[in-house]
Amino acid sequence: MKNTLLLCALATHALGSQPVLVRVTPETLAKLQARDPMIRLVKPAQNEAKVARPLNQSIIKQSTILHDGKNWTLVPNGAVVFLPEALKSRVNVRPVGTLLPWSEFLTKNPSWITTTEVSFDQAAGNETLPAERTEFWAKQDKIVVAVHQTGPISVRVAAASPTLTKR
Amino acid sequence: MKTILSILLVGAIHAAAQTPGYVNFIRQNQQGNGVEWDMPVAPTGTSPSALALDNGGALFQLWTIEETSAKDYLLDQKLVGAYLPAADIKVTTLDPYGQTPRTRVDQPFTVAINITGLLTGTGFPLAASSVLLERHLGSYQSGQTTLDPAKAVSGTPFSSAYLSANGNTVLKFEASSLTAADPTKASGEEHFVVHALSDGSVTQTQLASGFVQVLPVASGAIKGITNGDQLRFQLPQLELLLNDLYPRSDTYLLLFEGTQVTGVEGKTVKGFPVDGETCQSTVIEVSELDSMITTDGTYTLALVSDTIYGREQLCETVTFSVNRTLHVNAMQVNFSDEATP
Repeated sequence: MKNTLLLCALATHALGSQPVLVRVTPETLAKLQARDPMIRLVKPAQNEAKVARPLNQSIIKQSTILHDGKNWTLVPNGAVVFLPEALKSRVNVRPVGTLLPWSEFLTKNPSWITTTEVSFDQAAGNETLPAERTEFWAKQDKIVVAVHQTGPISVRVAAASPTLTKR
Repeated sequence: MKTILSILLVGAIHAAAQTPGYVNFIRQNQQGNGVEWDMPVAPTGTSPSALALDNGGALFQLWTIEETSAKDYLLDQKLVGAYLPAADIKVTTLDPYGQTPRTRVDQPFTVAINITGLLTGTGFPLAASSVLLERHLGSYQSGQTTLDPAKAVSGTPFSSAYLSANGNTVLKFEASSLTAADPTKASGEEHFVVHALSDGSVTQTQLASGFVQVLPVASGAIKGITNGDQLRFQLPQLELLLNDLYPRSDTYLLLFEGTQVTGVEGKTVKGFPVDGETCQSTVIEVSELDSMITTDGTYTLALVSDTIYGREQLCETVTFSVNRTLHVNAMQVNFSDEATP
Protein backbone atom coordinates (compact mmCIF):
# COMPACT_ATOMS: atom_id res chain seq x y z
CA MET A 1 0.00 0.00 0.00
CA LYS A 2 2.81 2.33 0.92
CA ASN A 3 4.66 1.54 -2.30
CA THR A 4 1.52 2.18 -4.32
CA LEU A 5 1.07 5.56 -2.69
CA LEU A 6 4.70 6.41 -3.40
CA LEU A 7 4.40 5.47 -7.05
CA CYS A 8 1.23 7.54 -7.36
CA ALA A 9 2.95 10.51 -5.79
CA LEU A 10 5.90 10.22 -8.16
CA ALA A 11 3.60 9.89 -11.16
CA THR A 12 1.65 12.96 -10.10
CA HIS A 13 4.84 14.95 -9.74
CA ALA A 14 6.18 13.85 -13.10
CA LEU A 15 2.95 14.72 -14.88
CA GLY A 16 2.61 18.08 -13.20
CA SER A 17 6.08 19.26 -14.11
CA GLN A 18 5.60 19.18 -17.89
CA PRO A 19 4.62 22.33 -19.76
CA VAL A 20 1.15 22.12 -21.28
CA LEU A 21 0.94 23.30 -24.88
CA VAL A 22 -2.19 24.74 -26.44
CA ARG A 23 -3.75 22.75 -29.29
CA VAL A 24 -2.83 24.16 -32.72
CA THR A 25 -5.45 26.35 -34.37
CA PRO A 26 -6.36 26.34 -38.08
CA GLU A 27 -4.94 29.89 -38.35
CA THR A 28 -1.56 28.87 -36.94
CA LEU A 29 -1.49 25.81 -39.17
CA ALA A 30 -2.21 27.95 -42.25
CA LYS A 31 0.81 30.14 -41.42
CA LEU A 32 3.04 27.07 -41.14
CA GLN A 33 1.76 25.70 -44.45
CA ALA A 34 2.45 29.01 -46.18
CA ARG A 35 6.18 28.62 -45.55
CA ASP A 36 6.53 26.04 -48.33
CA PRO A 37 10.20 25.46 -49.22
CA MET A 38 9.30 24.38 -52.77
CA ILE A 39 8.24 27.97 -53.53
CA ARG A 40 11.93 28.88 -53.83
CA LEU A 41 12.56 26.33 -56.59
CA VAL A 42 12.14 26.90 -60.33
CA LYS A 43 8.75 25.75 -61.53
CA PRO A 44 8.20 24.21 -64.95
CA ALA A 45 6.18 26.11 -67.48
CA GLN A 46 2.89 24.53 -68.44
CA ASN A 47 3.41 21.28 -70.43
CA GLU A 48 7.18 21.87 -70.41
CA ALA A 49 8.22 18.96 -68.19
CA LYS A 50 7.29 15.64 -69.79
CA VAL A 51 7.15 12.78 -67.33
CA ALA A 52 5.43 9.40 -67.39
CA ARG A 53 3.59 8.47 -64.21
CA PRO A 54 2.38 4.96 -63.33
CA LEU A 55 -1.24 4.82 -64.34
CA ASN A 56 -3.50 1.77 -64.50
CA GLN A 57 -0.59 -0.64 -64.38
CA SER A 58 -1.12 -4.22 -63.31
CA ILE A 59 1.52 -6.90 -63.01
CA ILE A 60 -1.22 -9.52 -63.30
CA LYS A 61 -2.47 -8.09 -66.58
CA GLN A 62 1.10 -7.81 -67.82
CA SER A 63 1.93 -11.44 -66.97
CA THR A 64 1.16 -15.03 -67.87
CA ILE A 65 -0.69 -16.91 -65.12
CA LEU A 66 0.20 -20.53 -64.37
CA HIS A 67 -2.25 -22.62 -62.34
CA ASP A 68 -2.12 -26.17 -60.90
CA GLY A 69 -5.68 -26.38 -59.58
CA LYS A 70 -4.79 -25.19 -56.07
CA ASN A 71 -1.98 -22.67 -56.51
CA TRP A 72 -1.04 -20.04 -59.02
CA THR A 73 1.90 -17.87 -59.92
CA LEU A 74 2.84 -15.44 -62.63
CA VAL A 75 5.72 -15.00 -65.05
CA PRO A 76 6.43 -12.19 -67.53
CA ASN A 77 4.55 -12.39 -70.81
CA GLY A 78 6.82 -14.21 -73.22
CA ALA A 79 8.49 -16.35 -70.56
CA VAL A 80 6.45 -19.44 -71.50
CA VAL A 81 8.46 -20.55 -74.53
CA PHE A 82 6.81 -23.91 -75.10
CA LEU A 83 3.22 -24.85 -74.34
CA PRO A 84 1.95 -28.38 -75.11
CA GLU A 85 -1.62 -28.53 -76.31
CA ALA A 86 -2.63 -30.73 -73.36
CA LEU A 87 -1.51 -28.13 -70.83
CA LYS A 88 -3.15 -25.06 -72.31
CA SER A 89 -5.82 -25.18 -69.64
CA ARG A 90 -3.19 -24.42 -66.98
CA VAL A 91 -2.12 -21.16 -68.56
CA ASN A 92 -3.78 -17.76 -68.36
CA VAL A 93 -6.73 -18.89 -66.29
CA ARG A 94 -8.42 -16.69 -63.72
CA PRO A 95 -6.13 -16.52 -60.66
CA VAL A 96 -7.79 -18.43 -57.80
CA GLY A 97 -6.33 -20.39 -54.89
CA THR A 98 -3.02 -19.72 -53.19
CA LEU A 99 -0.58 -17.36 -54.83
CA LEU A 100 2.99 -18.69 -54.67
CA PRO A 101 6.29 -17.12 -55.61
CA TRP A 102 7.62 -18.58 -58.86
CA SER A 103 10.29 -20.73 -57.21
CA GLU A 104 7.80 -22.37 -54.81
CA PHE A 105 5.30 -22.99 -57.59
CA LEU A 106 8.00 -24.64 -59.72
CA THR A 107 9.06 -26.86 -56.79
CA LYS A 108 5.49 -28.06 -56.35
CA ASN A 109 4.92 -28.80 -60.04
CA PRO A 110 7.99 -30.48 -61.53
CA SER A 111 5.83 -33.04 -63.32
CA TRP A 112 4.46 -30.52 -65.83
CA ILE A 113 6.76 -27.47 -65.71
CA THR A 114 10.42 -27.25 -66.61
CA THR A 115 12.76 -24.35 -67.22
CA THR A 116 15.34 -23.41 -69.78
CA GLU A 117 18.17 -21.05 -68.92
CA VAL A 118 18.61 -18.23 -71.45
CA SER A 119 21.16 -15.47 -71.74
CA PHE A 120 20.22 -11.82 -71.91
CA ASP A 121 21.04 -11.70 -75.61
CA GLN A 122 18.81 -14.72 -76.22
CA ALA A 123 16.02 -13.07 -74.23
CA ALA A 124 16.46 -9.88 -76.24
CA GLY A 125 16.23 -11.79 -79.50
CA ASN A 126 19.79 -11.00 -80.51
CA GLU A 127 20.76 -14.67 -80.43
CA THR A 128 18.70 -17.69 -81.35
CA LEU A 129 18.26 -20.53 -78.93
CA PRO A 130 20.04 -23.75 -79.95
CA ALA A 131 17.81 -25.81 -82.26
CA GLU A 132 18.48 -29.05 -80.39
CA ARG A 133 17.13 -27.51 -77.23
CA THR A 134 13.91 -26.28 -78.79
CA GLU A 135 13.44 -29.64 -80.52
CA PHE A 136 13.80 -31.43 -77.20
CA TRP A 137 10.95 -29.41 -75.69
CA ALA A 138 8.48 -31.05 -78.03
CA LYS A 139 9.51 -34.46 -76.72
CA GLN A 140 8.49 -33.58 -73.17
CA ASP A 141 4.92 -33.08 -72.13
CA LYS A 142 5.86 -30.05 -70.08
CA ILE A 143 5.45 -26.33 -70.18
CA VAL A 144 8.84 -24.70 -70.67
CA VAL A 145 9.52 -21.39 -68.94
CA ALA A 146 12.58 -19.34 -69.84
CA VAL A 147 14.63 -18.27 -66.82
CA HIS A 148 17.70 -16.18 -66.25
CA GLN A 149 19.52 -17.04 -63.03
CA THR A 150 16.35 -18.80 -61.80
CA GLY A 151 14.12 -15.78 -62.43
CA PRO A 152 11.53 -16.10 -65.25
CA ILE A 153 12.33 -13.86 -68.19
CA SER A 154 10.49 -12.88 -71.35
CA VAL A 155 12.03 -14.04 -74.61
CA ARG A 156 11.69 -12.12 -77.81
CA VAL A 157 11.32 -14.11 -80.96
CA ALA A 158 14.56 -14.54 -82.84
CA ALA A 159 14.32 -15.13 -86.58
CA ALA A 160 15.59 -18.71 -86.59
CA SER A 161 13.57 -20.16 -83.76
CA PRO A 162 10.00 -20.64 -84.99
CA THR A 163 8.91 -22.71 -81.98
CA LEU A 164 9.09 -19.76 -79.60
CA THR A 165 5.93 -18.16 -78.40
CA LYS A 166 5.43 -14.71 -79.83
CA ARG A 167 5.22 -11.86 -77.33
CA MET B 1 24.11 -1.98 -79.05
CA LYS B 2 26.52 -1.02 -76.39
CA THR B 3 25.79 -2.79 -73.17
CA ILE B 4 27.12 -2.11 -69.77
CA LEU B 5 27.71 -5.18 -67.67
CA SER B 6 27.38 -3.72 -64.29
CA ILE B 7 26.17 -4.99 -61.04
CA LEU B 8 23.20 -2.94 -60.11
CA LEU B 9 22.29 -2.72 -56.52
CA VAL B 10 18.61 -2.26 -56.15
CA GLY B 11 18.84 -1.19 -52.56
CA ALA B 12 16.60 1.72 -53.30
CA ILE B 13 13.80 -0.71 -53.97
CA HIS B 14 13.63 -2.54 -50.70
CA ALA B 15 11.46 -5.57 -50.97
CA ALA B 16 8.99 -5.09 -48.19
CA ALA B 17 9.00 -7.84 -45.61
CA GLN B 18 6.75 -10.65 -46.81
CA THR B 19 3.50 -9.85 -45.08
CA PRO B 20 1.16 -12.81 -44.54
CA GLY B 21 -1.44 -12.81 -47.29
CA TYR B 22 0.76 -10.91 -49.74
CA VAL B 23 3.40 -12.07 -52.23
CA ASN B 24 6.01 -9.63 -53.53
CA PHE B 25 7.63 -9.48 -56.95
CA ILE B 26 10.41 -7.30 -58.32
CA ARG B 27 10.16 -6.99 -62.08
CA GLN B 28 12.88 -5.47 -64.21
CA ASN B 29 11.88 -4.03 -67.57
CA GLN B 30 14.63 -3.25 -70.06
CA GLN B 31 13.50 0.00 -71.62
CA GLY B 32 15.51 -0.48 -74.82
CA ASN B 33 14.12 -3.84 -75.91
CA GLY B 34 11.22 -4.58 -73.59
CA VAL B 35 12.70 -7.72 -72.01
CA GLU B 36 11.09 -8.38 -68.63
CA TRP B 37 12.69 -10.37 -65.82
CA ASP B 38 11.38 -11.28 -62.38
CA MET B 39 14.25 -10.99 -59.96
CA PRO B 40 14.55 -13.81 -57.45
CA VAL B 41 14.85 -11.93 -54.15
CA ALA B 42 14.65 -12.63 -50.47
CA PRO B 43 11.75 -11.00 -48.61
CA THR B 44 14.09 -8.34 -47.22
CA GLY B 45 17.42 -6.86 -48.20
CA THR B 46 19.10 -6.07 -51.48
CA SER B 47 19.99 -8.03 -54.54
CA PRO B 48 22.17 -7.35 -57.58
CA SER B 49 20.50 -7.30 -60.95
CA ALA B 50 21.86 -10.02 -63.24
CA LEU B 51 20.83 -8.27 -66.43
CA ALA B 52 22.97 -5.96 -68.46
CA LEU B 53 21.73 -2.41 -68.73
CA ASP B 54 21.33 -1.10 -72.22
CA ASN B 55 21.28 2.52 -73.22
CA GLY B 56 17.59 2.91 -72.58
CA GLY B 57 17.92 2.01 -68.93
CA ALA B 58 15.91 -0.40 -66.84
CA LEU B 59 12.74 0.09 -64.84
CA PHE B 60 12.55 -1.77 -61.53
CA GLN B 61 9.09 -2.20 -60.08
CA LEU B 62 8.24 -3.59 -56.66
CA TRP B 63 4.81 -5.21 -56.70
CA THR B 64 2.76 -6.93 -54.04
CA ILE B 65 -0.29 -9.08 -54.68
CA GLU B 66 -2.99 -9.75 -52.10
CA GLU B 67 -3.65 -13.48 -52.15
CA THR B 68 -7.33 -13.48 -51.28
CA SER B 69 -8.43 -10.84 -53.75
CA ALA B 70 -5.66 -11.30 -56.36
CA LYS B 71 -5.34 -7.52 -56.36
CA ASP B 72 -1.94 -6.13 -57.24
CA TYR B 73 -0.30 -2.99 -55.92
CA LEU B 74 2.71 -1.21 -57.34
CA LEU B 75 4.60 -0.29 -54.18
CA ASP B 76 7.53 1.49 -55.76
CA GLN B 77 9.45 1.84 -58.97
CA LYS B 78 12.78 3.20 -60.03
CA LEU B 79 14.24 3.95 -63.44
CA VAL B 80 17.97 3.25 -63.62
CA GLY B 81 20.34 3.75 -66.52
CA ALA B 82 23.94 4.49 -67.36
CA TYR B 83 23.02 7.75 -69.05
CA LEU B 84 20.23 8.71 -66.72
CA PRO B 85 20.58 10.81 -63.58
CA ALA B 86 20.08 8.89 -60.36
CA ALA B 87 18.15 10.09 -57.34
CA ASP B 88 17.41 9.09 -53.80
CA ILE B 89 14.77 10.54 -51.47
CA LYS B 90 14.75 10.35 -47.69
CA VAL B 91 11.91 11.71 -45.57
CA THR B 92 12.66 12.43 -41.91
CA THR B 93 10.14 13.27 -39.19
CA LEU B 94 10.20 13.92 -35.45
CA ASP B 95 8.38 10.63 -34.84
CA PRO B 96 10.95 7.83 -34.51
CA TYR B 97 8.30 5.09 -34.55
CA GLY B 98 6.18 3.56 -37.29
CA GLN B 99 7.18 1.31 -40.19
CA THR B 100 7.14 4.27 -42.56
CA PRO B 101 7.92 7.94 -41.88
CA ARG B 102 5.07 9.37 -39.86
CA THR B 103 4.20 12.88 -38.76
CA ARG B 104 1.29 15.00 -37.61
CA VAL B 105 -0.34 17.61 -39.81
CA ASP B 106 1.02 20.53 -37.73
CA GLN B 107 4.53 19.13 -37.29
CA PRO B 108 7.66 19.69 -39.39
CA PHE B 109 9.35 17.14 -41.62
CA THR B 110 12.35 17.13 -43.91
CA VAL B 111 12.75 15.79 -47.44
CA ALA B 112 16.36 15.18 -48.50
CA ILE B 113 16.95 14.52 -52.20
CA ASN B 114 20.29 13.33 -53.48
CA ILE B 115 20.90 13.69 -57.21
CA THR B 116 23.81 12.36 -59.23
CA GLY B 117 24.53 12.15 -62.93
CA LEU B 118 23.16 15.51 -64.06
CA LEU B 119 25.24 17.32 -66.65
CA THR B 120 26.26 20.72 -65.46
CA GLY B 121 27.16 23.68 -67.60
CA THR B 122 25.46 25.59 -70.34
CA GLY B 123 23.99 24.34 -73.55
CA PHE B 124 22.78 20.97 -72.33
CA PRO B 125 19.18 19.96 -73.00
CA LEU B 126 16.81 20.17 -70.04
CA ALA B 127 16.52 16.36 -69.83
CA ALA B 128 20.26 16.02 -69.24
CA SER B 129 20.68 18.89 -66.81
CA SER B 130 17.52 18.74 -64.67
CA VAL B 131 15.13 16.39 -62.97
CA LEU B 132 11.60 17.15 -61.86
CA LEU B 133 10.54 16.97 -58.22
CA GLU B 134 6.82 16.41 -57.66
CA ARG B 135 4.85 16.72 -54.44
CA HIS B 136 1.61 14.71 -54.38
CA LEU B 137 -1.01 14.98 -51.62
CA GLY B 138 -3.52 12.21 -50.91
CA SER B 139 -6.14 12.39 -48.16
CA TYR B 140 -7.43 9.36 -46.28
CA GLN B 141 -11.11 8.59 -46.43
CA SER B 142 -12.82 7.76 -43.12
CA GLY B 143 -11.11 4.78 -41.52
CA GLN B 144 -8.40 4.57 -44.18
CA THR B 145 -4.79 4.20 -43.03
CA THR B 146 -2.92 3.70 -46.27
CA LEU B 147 -3.06 4.69 -49.95
CA ASP B 148 -2.23 2.72 -53.06
CA PRO B 149 1.27 4.12 -53.74
CA ALA B 150 0.92 4.03 -57.52
CA LYS B 151 -2.41 5.85 -57.45
CA ALA B 152 -1.03 8.40 -54.99
CA VAL B 153 1.55 9.58 -57.53
CA SER B 154 -0.39 9.09 -60.74
CA GLY B 155 -2.43 12.29 -60.69
CA THR B 156 -1.57 15.95 -61.10
CA PRO B 157 0.93 16.95 -58.42
CA PHE B 158 0.21 19.56 -55.75
CA SER B 159 3.43 21.26 -56.80
CA SER B 160 6.49 20.54 -58.90
CA ALA B 161 9.88 22.09 -59.46
CA TYR B 162 13.16 21.49 -61.25
CA LEU B 163 16.28 20.33 -59.46
CA SER B 164 19.32 21.20 -61.54
CA ALA B 165 22.25 20.48 -59.27
CA ASN B 166 23.93 17.27 -58.26
CA GLY B 167 24.22 16.59 -54.54
CA ASN B 168 21.87 17.02 -51.64
CA THR B 169 18.83 19.28 -51.66
CA VAL B 170 17.14 19.49 -48.28
CA LEU B 171 13.59 20.81 -48.07
CA LYS B 172 12.25 21.60 -44.60
CA PHE B 173 8.47 21.65 -44.45
CA GLU B 174 7.00 23.26 -41.32
CA ALA B 175 3.71 21.41 -41.68
CA SER B 176 1.84 19.18 -44.08
CA SER B 177 -0.20 20.83 -46.81
CA LEU B 178 -3.03 18.31 -46.59
CA THR B 179 -6.39 19.97 -46.12
CA ALA B 180 -9.73 19.11 -44.56
CA ALA B 181 -12.86 20.92 -43.41
CA ASP B 182 -11.08 21.32 -40.07
CA PRO B 183 -7.46 21.68 -41.21
CA THR B 184 -6.15 20.26 -37.91
CA LYS B 185 -7.98 17.02 -38.75
CA ALA B 186 -6.36 16.49 -42.14
CA SER B 187 -4.81 13.05 -42.61
CA GLY B 188 -3.31 11.17 -45.49
CA GLU B 189 0.02 10.94 -47.22
CA GLU B 190 2.48 13.24 -48.94
CA HIS B 191 4.45 11.59 -51.73
CA PHE B 192 7.60 13.03 -53.27
CA VAL B 193 8.78 11.78 -56.64
CA VAL B 194 11.85 12.61 -58.71
CA HIS B 195 11.32 12.10 -62.43
CA ALA B 196 13.79 12.06 -65.27
CA LEU B 197 12.60 14.36 -68.00
CA SER B 198 11.35 12.13 -70.77
CA ASP B 199 12.67 12.19 -74.31
CA GLY B 200 10.02 9.65 -75.27
CA SER B 201 12.30 6.59 -75.13
CA VAL B 202 11.20 5.32 -71.72
CA THR B 203 7.82 4.10 -70.57
CA GLN B 204 8.25 5.41 -67.02
CA THR B 205 10.38 8.25 -65.71
CA GLN B 206 10.34 7.80 -61.95
CA LEU B 207 13.88 7.83 -60.54
CA ALA B 208 13.04 7.84 -56.86
CA SER B 209 10.16 8.29 -54.47
CA GLY B 210 9.47 8.73 -50.80
CA PHE B 211 6.45 9.46 -48.70
CA VAL B 212 5.31 10.48 -45.26
CA GLN B 213 2.13 9.49 -43.48
CA VAL B 214 0.27 12.45 -41.98
CA LEU B 215 -1.97 12.02 -38.96
CA PRO B 216 -4.51 14.47 -37.50
CA VAL B 217 -4.23 16.50 -34.29
CA ALA B 218 -6.05 14.86 -31.41
CA SER B 219 -9.05 16.62 -29.85
CA GLY B 220 -11.39 15.96 -26.99
CA ALA B 221 -14.19 17.20 -24.76
CA ILE B 222 -15.10 16.96 -21.07
CA LYS B 223 -18.82 16.30 -20.72
CA GLY B 224 -20.88 16.41 -17.52
CA ILE B 225 -19.42 19.58 -16.10
CA THR B 226 -19.11 23.09 -17.48
CA ASN B 227 -16.86 26.01 -16.84
CA GLY B 228 -18.05 28.05 -13.83
CA ASP B 229 -20.15 25.33 -12.24
CA GLN B 230 -20.67 25.64 -8.46
CA LEU B 231 -21.05 22.19 -6.99
CA ARG B 232 -22.36 21.52 -3.49
CA PHE B 233 -22.97 17.84 -3.01
CA GLN B 234 -21.86 14.80 -4.97
CA LEU B 235 -19.75 15.62 -7.99
CA PRO B 236 -21.15 14.46 -11.33
CA GLN B 237 -19.94 11.50 -13.35
CA LEU B 238 -17.98 12.77 -16.33
CA GLU B 239 -17.60 11.57 -19.88
CA LEU B 240 -14.47 12.14 -21.93
CA LEU B 241 -14.74 12.28 -25.73
CA LEU B 242 -11.33 11.44 -27.16
CA ASN B 243 -10.73 11.81 -30.91
CA ASP B 244 -7.72 10.86 -33.05
CA LEU B 245 -5.37 10.09 -30.18
CA TYR B 246 -1.86 9.85 -31.62
CA PRO B 247 -0.11 6.45 -31.76
CA ARG B 248 1.92 5.63 -28.64
CA SER B 249 0.38 8.52 -26.71
CA ASP B 250 -0.92 8.77 -23.15
CA THR B 251 -4.00 10.87 -22.45
CA TYR B 252 -4.89 12.14 -18.99
CA LEU B 253 -7.68 13.98 -17.27
CA LEU B 254 -5.81 16.11 -14.71
CA LEU B 255 -7.21 17.90 -11.67
CA PHE B 256 -5.55 21.12 -10.52
CA GLU B 257 -6.27 23.15 -7.40
CA GLY B 258 -7.12 26.72 -8.37
CA THR B 259 -7.36 28.02 -11.91
CA GLN B 260 -3.80 27.48 -13.17
CA VAL B 261 -2.67 24.40 -15.09
CA THR B 262 0.86 25.46 -15.93
CA GLY B 263 3.70 25.40 -13.43
CA VAL B 264 1.66 23.53 -10.85
CA GLU B 265 1.17 19.88 -10.16
CA GLY B 266 -2.02 18.14 -11.12
CA LYS B 267 -3.51 14.89 -9.96
CA THR B 268 -4.35 12.22 -12.51
CA VAL B 269 -8.07 11.52 -12.46
CA LYS B 270 -8.03 9.14 -15.42
CA GLY B 271 -5.47 7.88 -17.88
CA PHE B 272 -5.85 6.36 -21.35
CA PRO B 273 -2.81 4.89 -23.11
CA VAL B 274 -2.65 4.23 -26.87
CA ASP B 275 -0.21 1.43 -27.59
CA GLY B 276 -1.05 0.88 -31.27
CA GLU B 277 0.37 2.42 -34.41
CA THR B 278 -2.86 4.03 -35.59
CA CYS B 279 -4.95 6.90 -34.23
CA GLN B 280 -7.70 5.93 -31.81
CA SER B 281 -11.00 7.54 -30.84
CA THR B 282 -13.04 6.52 -27.83
CA VAL B 283 -15.42 7.66 -25.09
CA ILE B 284 -14.60 6.89 -21.46
CA GLU B 285 -16.56 7.36 -18.23
CA VAL B 286 -15.00 9.08 -15.21
CA SER B 287 -16.47 8.48 -11.75
CA GLU B 288 -13.33 9.03 -9.69
CA LEU B 289 -13.61 12.82 -9.37
CA ASP B 290 -15.93 12.83 -6.37
CA SER B 291 -13.60 10.80 -4.19
CA MET B 292 -10.59 12.94 -5.12
CA ILE B 293 -12.04 16.25 -3.91
CA THR B 294 -12.21 16.30 -0.12
CA THR B 295 -11.97 20.02 0.59
CA ASP B 296 -13.91 23.00 -0.61
CA GLY B 297 -12.28 25.26 -3.15
CA THR B 298 -11.77 26.08 -6.78
CA TYR B 299 -10.52 23.38 -9.13
CA THR B 300 -9.62 23.05 -12.80
CA LEU B 301 -9.84 20.01 -15.02
CA ALA B 302 -7.51 19.67 -18.01
CA LEU B 303 -7.66 16.99 -20.70
CA VAL B 304 -4.13 16.55 -22.03
CA SER B 305 -2.32 14.12 -24.28
CA ASP B 306 1.38 13.26 -24.09
CA THR B 307 2.87 12.51 -27.49
CA ILE B 308 6.35 12.65 -28.92
CA TYR B 309 5.54 16.31 -29.64
CA GLY B 310 4.98 17.16 -25.95
CA ARG B 311 1.99 17.56 -23.68
CA GLU B 312 -0.96 19.30 -25.31
CA GLN B 313 -4.47 20.24 -24.26
CA LEU B 314 -7.19 18.48 -26.20
CA CYS B 315 -9.84 21.07 -25.28
CA GLU B 316 -10.44 24.14 -23.11
CA THR B 317 -9.93 23.63 -19.38
CA VAL B 318 -12.96 23.50 -17.07
CA THR B 319 -12.83 25.50 -13.81
CA PHE B 320 -15.45 24.87 -11.11
CA SER B 321 -15.90 25.40 -7.38
CA VAL B 322 -16.90 22.99 -4.64
CA ASN B 323 -18.60 24.17 -1.45
CA ARG B 324 -19.90 21.36 0.74
CA THR B 325 -19.78 23.15 4.14
CA LEU B 326 -23.24 23.38 5.73
CA HIS B 327 -24.01 26.81 7.18
CA VAL B 328 -26.95 26.95 9.66
CA ASN B 329 -28.41 30.38 10.10
CA ALA B 330 -30.32 30.53 13.51
CA MET B 331 -31.04 32.98 16.35
CA GLN B 332 -30.03 31.95 19.88
CA VAL B 333 -32.70 32.47 22.57
CA ASN B 334 -31.86 32.22 26.30
CA PHE B 335 -34.59 31.15 28.67
CA SER B 336 -33.58 32.36 32.20
CA ASP B 337 -35.15 31.43 35.56
CA GLU B 338 -36.03 35.10 36.23
CA ALA B 339 -38.46 35.13 33.45
CA THR B 340 -40.29 32.18 34.87
CA PRO B 341 -43.51 33.19 36.70
